[in-house]
Amino acid sequence: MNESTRKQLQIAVEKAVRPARVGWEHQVRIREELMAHVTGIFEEEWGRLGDEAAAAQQAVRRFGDPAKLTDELNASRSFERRFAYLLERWFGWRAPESAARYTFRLSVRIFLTIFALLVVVPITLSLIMGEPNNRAMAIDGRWVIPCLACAAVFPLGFLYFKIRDAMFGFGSPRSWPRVASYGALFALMVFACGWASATLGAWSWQEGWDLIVPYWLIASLVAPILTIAVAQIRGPAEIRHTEWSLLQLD
Amino acid sequence: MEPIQGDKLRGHLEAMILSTLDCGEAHGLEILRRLEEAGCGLLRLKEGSLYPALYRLEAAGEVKAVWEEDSHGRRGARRRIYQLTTKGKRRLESGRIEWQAFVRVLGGILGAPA
Repeated sequence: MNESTRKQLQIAVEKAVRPARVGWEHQVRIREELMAHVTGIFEEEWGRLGDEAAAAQQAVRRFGDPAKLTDELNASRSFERRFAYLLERWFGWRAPESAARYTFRLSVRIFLTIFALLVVVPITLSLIMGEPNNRAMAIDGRWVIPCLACAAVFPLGFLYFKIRDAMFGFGSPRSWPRVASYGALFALMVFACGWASATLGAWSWQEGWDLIVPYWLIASLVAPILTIAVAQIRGPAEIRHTEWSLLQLD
Repeated sequence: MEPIQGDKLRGHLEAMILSTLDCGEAHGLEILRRLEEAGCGLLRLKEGSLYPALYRLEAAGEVKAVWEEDSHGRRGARRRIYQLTTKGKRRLESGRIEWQAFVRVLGGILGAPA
């Protein structure tokens, strides 16, 4: 099968899968399975017709109407998949976002979510119950947590993608020295976030330092190792999802 | 005889899949081949539509699937091998009983007993 035929079959599959309201991990699974199927049909037709272009057309015809298949995929979702999709609509990556744009958007959404849960909901509830609660209204650590979360997610999220891409050579050549550099930066960021949180809590640099050393220091060193492990496990599927999502369908 | 497709198949596809898997585990293309063979060439299934039905069965716990170990030269595209679970066997049994009752009743009404 030449590259052009393979792309034709991929487009047929992606036209059905991309609009489906399912999470990205399920999309990756469906794509692989449908691609295996449509490739199998193509091989049958190629054996029968002897012509690659005609076999590809027959395979796409036999595969069926992509829009109808999308509707059927949507109708076949379990409750867990519907919920996962909703979460992903709010927090997930959208093609063709860059890593920087996505992590920035994610950090803003995490800020809004945590702020709503820790500040807006308690104040609203106390107002609805007609008992303005000074504690609910007080400006305290709850206002700082969403800011810290937002400030941490952006650089750490961005560094995760840099580590992943350097590990698998996505967008730039594979480079373990770059993985190590980004990992060191990741450790530094984790440590800095911990120190900043402790300092704000204790309202003193020195007390903040005393609070986090040595345990948070150890956690900071372990964090990039865990990140590399996560990238090792999830990275290939994430990259496949990105490649498929960027496919031009027309 | 006209091919059997579309609305006539709706509602029966899952039972047909379970019945096919009762003969042994299979991937999607093999399930389709078995259905077309059993249907003596009169079944017209849109092949992509098989998979939503398989996913529904899997979500219901009536089939389970594992990825094959090797893509056999299909450039990264592996197949999932489906097999019937105990729950699926029970559903197949009750589906067969319901179908026999359905055919008996309709046959009596239409004057065309099975």
